[in-house]
Amino acid sequence: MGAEKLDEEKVATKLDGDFLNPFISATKNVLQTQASTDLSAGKPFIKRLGDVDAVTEIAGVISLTCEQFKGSIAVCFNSEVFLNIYENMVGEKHEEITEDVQDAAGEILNIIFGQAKTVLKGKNYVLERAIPTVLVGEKLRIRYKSKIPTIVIPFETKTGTFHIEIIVDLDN
Amino acid sequence: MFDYNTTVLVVDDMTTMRKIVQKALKEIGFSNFVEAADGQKAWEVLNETSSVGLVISDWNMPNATGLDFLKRVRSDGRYKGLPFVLLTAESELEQVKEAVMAGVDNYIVKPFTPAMLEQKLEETHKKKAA
Repeated sequence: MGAEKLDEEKVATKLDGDFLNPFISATKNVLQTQASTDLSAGKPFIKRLGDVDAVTEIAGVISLTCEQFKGSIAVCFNSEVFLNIYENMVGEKHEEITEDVQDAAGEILNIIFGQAKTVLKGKNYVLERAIPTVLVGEKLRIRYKSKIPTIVIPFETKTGTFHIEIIVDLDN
Repeated sequence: MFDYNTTVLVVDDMTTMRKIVQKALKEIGFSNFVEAADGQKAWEVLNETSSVGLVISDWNMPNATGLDFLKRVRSDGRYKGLPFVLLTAESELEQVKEAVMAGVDNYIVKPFTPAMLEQKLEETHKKKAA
């Protein structure tokens, strides 16, 4: 318990506004600009092992590697929110997540990553280039091989919520 | 502005981004498109499609990158004047210099709206007409 609390304190200190805000701003900007989707960010919180996840049916994941730490970021959607964003982005309506639409989750995260990376460079976090991966499945649960807590940033759209998960390993 | 009947070659390894670009181009007024998922395929499509009058290409792609494709285009006398717009991420703006050296006409940063793309295309057309 003590070690877990210490980890949380370390993560909370390290993942301060300086680090999280560029991802929050980039997410809002990318979805507003590229998908005409208005959204607001909720308060970030820490997810621990065993906590119940929000329903995720598709996620884009990309690694975060810089001199200070290694980690990853995931953008997680349920199908309704994802397909609504997809329709706004490309003008095609789909009833389910098929292979045709899956790479959008990676592309959305890729653009978010690109924007945040530029801002973070100015704060001495020089992230390496990375290629996104897309995960698809019913009630998808993203588990990291680490006891380190995950920071979750929820976002609200007219269709529903989606979230971003960020995990960093400070010992790497 | 460009002739809206011209064929636009859209190059990106992500299907979604090719669709986003074509949706924006349709809103601007274009209606003829061909596409490719990498620089190698783009070169083949360009040679097979005589009506291509504008290229919009991503930078980071497998097999042959946007820069590889651009260099190939500019080294062929038939395509020396072909308008070529680079599609890039904000974090890759340093690469624009290299693209300019290789003969790119303009670039657009993702994310973008149809209005932003239209403005870039107008700039490109004016530059070419000057």
